[in-house]
Formats: sequence, structure tokens, C-alpha cells
Amino acid sequence: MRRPNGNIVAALVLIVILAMIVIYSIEFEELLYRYFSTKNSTGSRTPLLVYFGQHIWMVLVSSVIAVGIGVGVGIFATTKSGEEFRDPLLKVVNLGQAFPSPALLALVVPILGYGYEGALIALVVYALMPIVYNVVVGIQEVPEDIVDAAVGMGMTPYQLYKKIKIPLALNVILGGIRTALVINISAATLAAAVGAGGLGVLVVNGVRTFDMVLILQGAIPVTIMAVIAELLLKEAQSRLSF
Amino acid sequence: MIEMQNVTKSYGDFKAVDNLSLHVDSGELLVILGPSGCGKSTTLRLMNKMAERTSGTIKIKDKDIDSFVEEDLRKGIGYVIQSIGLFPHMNVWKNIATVPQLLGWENSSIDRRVDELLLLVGLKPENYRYKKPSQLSGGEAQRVGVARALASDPDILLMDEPFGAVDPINRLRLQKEFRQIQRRLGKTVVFVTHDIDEAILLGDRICIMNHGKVVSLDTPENVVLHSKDDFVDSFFKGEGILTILSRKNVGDYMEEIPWEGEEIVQDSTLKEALSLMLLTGEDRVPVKGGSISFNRILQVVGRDINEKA
Repeated sequence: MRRPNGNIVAALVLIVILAMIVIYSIEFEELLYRYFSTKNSTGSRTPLLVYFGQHIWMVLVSSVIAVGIGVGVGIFATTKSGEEFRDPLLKVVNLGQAFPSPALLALVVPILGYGYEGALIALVVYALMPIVYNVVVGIQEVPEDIVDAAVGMGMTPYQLYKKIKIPLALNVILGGIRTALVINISAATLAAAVGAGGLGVLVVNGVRTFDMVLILQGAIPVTIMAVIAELLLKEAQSRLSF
Repeated sequence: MIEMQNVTKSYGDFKAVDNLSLHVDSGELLVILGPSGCGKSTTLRLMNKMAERTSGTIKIKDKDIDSFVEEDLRKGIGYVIQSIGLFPHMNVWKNIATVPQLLGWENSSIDRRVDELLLLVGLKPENYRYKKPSQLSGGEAQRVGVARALASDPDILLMDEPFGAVDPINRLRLQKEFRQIQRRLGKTVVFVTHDIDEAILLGDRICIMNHGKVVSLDTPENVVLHSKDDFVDSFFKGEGILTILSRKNVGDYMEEIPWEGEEIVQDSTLKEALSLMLLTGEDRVPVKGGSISFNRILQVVGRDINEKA
């Protein structure tokens, strides 16, 4: 019945490739050396799998927290009680999206110290921006007459959100989550700079030692992850929104 | 059924509705007619608390509307707006089922009700039940909108230019069908429009508003033929007279004088009879069981003839 979907197929292929890279990390390293031979011959000592696990974990935790907070705050800002709070919030969120992520990370360290927590919080804050923005805009863009009809039929504010506003805004909301996730996957690379681990460790070390292989060992899985996340959420968007 | 007393709605200094009083009888179709910005939509929205009045009292079935929980009040009143506002992410079934679901009906009774309503508005249930609003034409969407408003069998319907976005040919058909449905079900309807012909065709009474006030409140015949008010006269500018004719059946005015030619039925309207006279060039057309003359039509609507008599 349902014809095989391009997004899903592409995502599956990429997942397989990513798994191969992680499982056969030594072979992957040798392959890279063949094309990018450098004076350095010491690859990474810690298995790729460990960095990969740290990276995914960091992205997942920060994204889940950001989705929770972002959707909550966004919905609140569209309600009557959050009305006055809405425009300043949108401005802050807009500015925040333009704020460079390395700078944000650098700001977090003096406040929260070196390590995992600091990086996590920076990632949450960064992911919040597109989510909050899209939730607010998505709900505001639900046509006035549809809301009018729903209220006129006797829906309570809760029913209005559950049955009308959120389902109709879902496409835009998921778009925000997609952006946040993709940004987070690549921003989490920088977390290595504040000692939080992840695939960024390879990139940071590689840059420090001018080791092309090390950089690619970190950067390629990160890129593939970001593309997979993009494809899967795009698919979710087209399935879940009307 | 609906009683408004000295109701005012102000936005700052501007009075959208100004000390307005009117009542709507049970089973009546009251049309509120007026130019844009006259406060007609606001008046309608005050009745189901979509707008909060500044002062005055509104009673529905002899109960002050403030004594209802807002949502319960609205669930008991059908509401149709110009753009219909069908929910685009729900199919026809779910759209119509909205209020019954809010009221907690069982699915089996909702199923039955949805089919019944679709038949009532002239849509085949098996073809339309699972269509999305984007698959409907304007006229079909409007029918679904009416069905949705009738879903929980409310006694009162509030309609804000419900047929405004439909093309003229379909509009006339919808208007006639709606009038029949309304008569058959005995619903009390408040119907807002700026279309004079629609008002005359549908209304039991027409309430003409200007600057938030009622200028005139009377039957269509009296409003068109015997108005004493300058605003009403200027608003109609002689329009509507043909529409008055289309409210009346030939059978009520015909004479038993036989006449040669192709007969029209007694259910035809005076407007159709007049059109036929203009077409044939004769001042009398045959009706089944007699005929009707041009003079007779003049007597029905001609203001000057009636006043001399």
C-alpha cells in the first residue's frame, strides 16, 4: 500500500553507514589514513564508540529538556495570561538564535564550571530558541476564523489547544524541533572544548595537532547524525501534520 | 427565545452596539441587516458571549446568559460564520461530531446523527463522511458548516453571513434549502447579512441596524413597502421589491379566469409569473386552475395603489 519513502530509505542507509563506522572504527581510521596521510600516526586511543555514545547522550538529554521547556513556554506565551510576555520573548529568542554557539559555551563555563553540566545547559538554551519561536508562531498562525468557530462551539481553552491549536500548529512546531536537533548535534561538538566529551574531542584534538584524520573521524559521524535527524523529523512532520 | 434589553457594547469611546433592545420569538428567523460596521455581527456575538457586553441584559429562554457557564451556553447554540471555519485537519465526520463529542455522546449515536445531518443538508453520507474540508467545494463546505451547527440539535442558531462566500447560483439554492430546513425543524435563527435580497428572502422579520442602533424592525413587506424612515429608504433604494415577489406564491393571488397558454404551477412565485409576463409580452399568464394578471401583482406590492385604496 504505502510506497517506500525516500526520507526513510535515505535515513536507514545512513544509519547503516554510521553503525559500520562506529563498529569498524579501526578499519575506518585506516581508510582515512590511506587518503589523508599526515605526519602524525597516532589515531585516537579511546574507542570511537565511547565518544559516539557521549555525543548522542548529550544531544538526547539536552533536546528532551529543551522540547519540554520550549513547548511549555511557547504555549504559555500564546495564552491570554502570557500575552504581554509574548513579544519580548520572541525578540529575545530571535536574538538568541543569532548568538554564536561557541560564545554561549564560553559564557557558561565561568558560571557553571568546566564539564558535562555546563555543556548540557548551553545546549538546552541553544535548542530552546527555535523551539519556542516555532511554537509561538505556529500557534499564532492558526487562522482566526477556525479558532472563532471552535470557541463559538463551546470549546474550553484546554480543548481548544488540544483539539485545534496544537494539531494545526504541529507542522511548524516539529519544524522547530528539527532545527533544534540538527543545531544541537553539531553544537555538541563544541562541548568537547569545555571538557564534556563527545565526538568533539576528536575534532578539537585534531585541530590542535593538525591531524586531518582525527578531525574527520569526529566530523563525519556528526554530519551523518545530523542528516539522519533531519530526514527522520522531516518524515515525522509530513506524517503527523494534516 | 432571545431577549436583549438596553444592551451596549463599547470599545473605548466607540459604541459598536448602542442601547439596543430586541427580542426573537421561538421558531422565528430574524435577519439583522445593515452596512458594514453597523454593529450587526457584534450584536450576534453578544448573544453567545463571543463578545462581552458593556451593559444591559440578554436572556436566552428566559435565563440571563450570565447564569450559564460560557462554554455550556455556546454548546447549546449553533454558530455558523462566513468563512465556515471547518477544521482542516478533521474529516467531515469529525467536524460535525465536534459538539456531540464535547457533550460526551456515544460514538454509535454520533454516527447516526452525522448521517442524518448530512442527508438533511443534501450530501450523501457515504460519499462525504470521510472527506477532508480541502476536498469540498464552497457550497458543500457551507452545507457541512450548517450540519455541524445543527449537530447537537440546538434550539437556536446564530449565523453570521453564512452564505457570503458562496457563488450566487449556489447561494440561492442554499438559501432556499436552508429556509425549508429551518421551517421544518422549527429552529430559532438570528441571521446576519448585508445582502438585501437574502434578508428579504429568508427573514420572518428584518432588523435594520445603523451606527449600533436598530433603525427599523418589521416584516420584509413592511420594511420594503411601508418604510417611514429615510435611512431605510436610502438603504433599499427601491431594491428588494422583486425579492418580495419571490416570497409569495402565485396560488394565493390567482383568479379563476381561464387563460390560453402554457400553465405555471400554483407553487410558482409572483416573481416567476412577472418574469413570464415580461417574456411573453402579455399582462396575464395561465396558472393551473386559472390565471394571474399584471394588475393583481401591482396590487400586492404597488405602494401607491395600496395607499389610495
